[in-house]
Amino acid sequence: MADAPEPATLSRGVSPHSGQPGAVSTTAAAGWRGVAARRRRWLAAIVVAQSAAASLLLWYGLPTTNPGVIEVSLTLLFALLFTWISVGFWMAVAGFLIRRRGMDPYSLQARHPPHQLAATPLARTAVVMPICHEPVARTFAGLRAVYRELERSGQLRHFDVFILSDSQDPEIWLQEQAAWQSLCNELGAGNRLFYRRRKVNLNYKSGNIADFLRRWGAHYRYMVVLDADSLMTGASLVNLVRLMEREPAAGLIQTRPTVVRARTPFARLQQFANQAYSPLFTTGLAAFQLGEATFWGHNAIIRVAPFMAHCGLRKLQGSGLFRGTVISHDFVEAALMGRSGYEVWLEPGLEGSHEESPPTLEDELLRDRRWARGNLQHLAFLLFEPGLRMAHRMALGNGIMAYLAAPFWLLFLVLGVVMLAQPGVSMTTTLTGGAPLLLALTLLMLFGPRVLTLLDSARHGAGQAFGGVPAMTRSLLLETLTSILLAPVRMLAHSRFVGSALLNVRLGWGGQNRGADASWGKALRWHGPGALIGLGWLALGLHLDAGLFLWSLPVVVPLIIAPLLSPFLGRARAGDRLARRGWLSAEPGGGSTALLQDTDATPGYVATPAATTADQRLSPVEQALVLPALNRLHQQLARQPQARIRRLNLARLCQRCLQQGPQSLTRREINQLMSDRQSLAWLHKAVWTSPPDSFWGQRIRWSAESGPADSTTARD
Amino acid sequence: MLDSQAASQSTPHSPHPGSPARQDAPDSDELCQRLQDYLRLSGVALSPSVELEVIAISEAAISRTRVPSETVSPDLPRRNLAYREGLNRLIHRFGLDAPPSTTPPPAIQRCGMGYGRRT
Repeated sequence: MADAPEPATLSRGVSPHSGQPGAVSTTAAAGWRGVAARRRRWLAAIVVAQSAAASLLLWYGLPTTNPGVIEVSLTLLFALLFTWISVGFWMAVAGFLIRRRGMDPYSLQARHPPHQLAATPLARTAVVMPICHEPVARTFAGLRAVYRELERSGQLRHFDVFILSDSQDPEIWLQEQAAWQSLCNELGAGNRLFYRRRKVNLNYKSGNIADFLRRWGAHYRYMVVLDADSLMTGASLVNLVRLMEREPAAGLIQTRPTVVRARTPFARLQQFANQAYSPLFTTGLAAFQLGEATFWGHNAIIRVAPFMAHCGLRKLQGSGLFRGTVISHDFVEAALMGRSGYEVWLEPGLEGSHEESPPTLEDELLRDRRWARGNLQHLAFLLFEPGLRMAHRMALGNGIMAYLAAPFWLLFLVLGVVMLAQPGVSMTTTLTGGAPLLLALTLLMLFGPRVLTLLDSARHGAGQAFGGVPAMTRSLLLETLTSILLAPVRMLAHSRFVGSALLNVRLGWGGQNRGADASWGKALRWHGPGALIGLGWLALGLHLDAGLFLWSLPVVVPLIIAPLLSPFLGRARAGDRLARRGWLSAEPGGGSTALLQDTDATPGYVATPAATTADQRLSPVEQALVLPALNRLHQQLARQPQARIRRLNLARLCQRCLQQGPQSLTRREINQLMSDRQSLAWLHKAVWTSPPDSFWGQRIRWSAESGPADSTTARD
Repeated sequence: MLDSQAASQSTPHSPHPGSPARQDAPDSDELCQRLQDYLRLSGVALSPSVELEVIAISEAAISRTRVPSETVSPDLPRRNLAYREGLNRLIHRFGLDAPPSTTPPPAIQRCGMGYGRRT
């Protein structure tokens, strides 16, 4: 039994200025608000001025002499979209300028030199990984690597690791439990690595974290939240804790997770873009946000007491989309943390923090569908939640705009076509006046950050991480071309997501695909309708105006070829070929080599689908009933005996499972059996007393044929 | 309760144990094989001495089922009786019912989540 960690007393009236033992106040701490205000004023002034100028250029370039609703709408949409891309551009410029000087002097890291941080004692910290139907092998391989990193850091004694499962499919959670036991045995981590599964996944991920906090939060001063695909080095985890200890006013510090371990071309493109561009963008973003940054949901450290006191999420009480569970909890939690008086920091300079990219475009879009709904929900907080800081309201607005931009762009294009369909109007007359200047300005906003990235990489010698500056330039051009091709596809998909979210179409909640290849069928289902729209658009363009036809091509051609392009981008072997030829190379820095090697070099119980022949033939449910050690483990984690009425039902299910096998039961029935200690014990004995030629006798024979099996093998 | 349910897996009209018609007991080799499989899958190395013990356990289990018992349902086939008897003896002898080495999470200290306040 693990030694119970020393309890920490929680106070509901937690204040950021109450101080903590060992915490050192800093003189720089107070000055950031004024700096942030100045920087934001400059940003707003530049963006507004530039967007106004661009909008005027458009307005005066419009081909009609008597502007109507269409023209006004077009200009307003343009102003909104131009403002949106301008903010991104100036973030990158700010990031570029700051990186030229080394580091933002107002960042947390700049306040505390390395020697000071190294001398800071650590506090008890929980590393929590909420999971729900994630690939078991990958998830546990990553967790194993993070645990070993903590071991290597020599600070493991300060950390406990919690796997918080919301999985409801017994085929998945039985594997999770088995993998957890294997991991504990291998790492000798029985008193430090814990597994908890919720039977009811109330409020999704935020509910899972809240459930953890209600039970064990009082034991820990800090909590580091990881996603199923998160990887963090021991040094980064330790530094996060030390920064929190040094900064008692900090409620949350978000790291910049870099994308790693990509294989498909799509994931490699995301990885390259993330590693190449994010230093500039996040440095700029952090410079404007300073202590009012946001939470991205993972790879961040949270001060537990104020989080528990102030960041509980009530269900939304509105109607439609704005009723029920808050889906995208992270931005809201950061805003609530800010409201409580605590600071929220983004520290892009902290290295050794990683995540993975969805392997295919469809997987990314699936995730976006959820995020679109979640971000649109934030409108309720943006408009009606009292007391939030303006910076956090802006961040919520930014998140909403990330998805609203798509339908706005679509509407802009449609209105453009409608305008050109008017008599006497053509693209030729449109492209007069300031149009070329406007086009140049738009292209600068869109592609300027890419040029800055190249300059920044050359200056910092970061080009080596991308295979040298020439290779990086080549990869950057490929990434730019692909981005152009995918932008209309994303635009159409996001527009659909926004529409379905506003109509309150319900979504399922499951694990993400983190490794499987794309398929033609899936690509056709996702992008077929878009291709038809593209063909229709093209035909309309030809019918209306030759100029419109030509100008539509950059939007329409990607839509038409998406069903063909997407499967190619989702093939792991194609990605490997690209990498062998030196395209899209991206090596993360930050001393992550050991971490990544550890993740890849996992032992058989997590690295391969199954370690033994028998295990491949036995489902996780069959393994749970046949393999003695596994059965004992599942018994230990199962519920205590149930009430009599339930027992009668369970006894009936046991009989059916014994006589006809688990395939005769529904998933719900299997869940009931596998969650019940007495049923597991009884079935195990009954299975082992089955005749050799019965269903279960055959399973026992298969298991025995595989030789002295590792009975805790996880399948994936 | 579930043990009593196990009785229902046998045929409803089985003759009483010990009667001449009950010739369904496993032979010693069959049971021995099953018990060895169980040991192997439990991670116990099968040394010659262990194998000898398994043989002894299986023979004892079979001979035990030849004796009519008041505690066992008369409907249960002798094969099942012998398997169960052998399994119980095996688990007891090798301590295979020990709980796994994993540790439950630290003791729960319940605390509520707050919904924030303005400062």
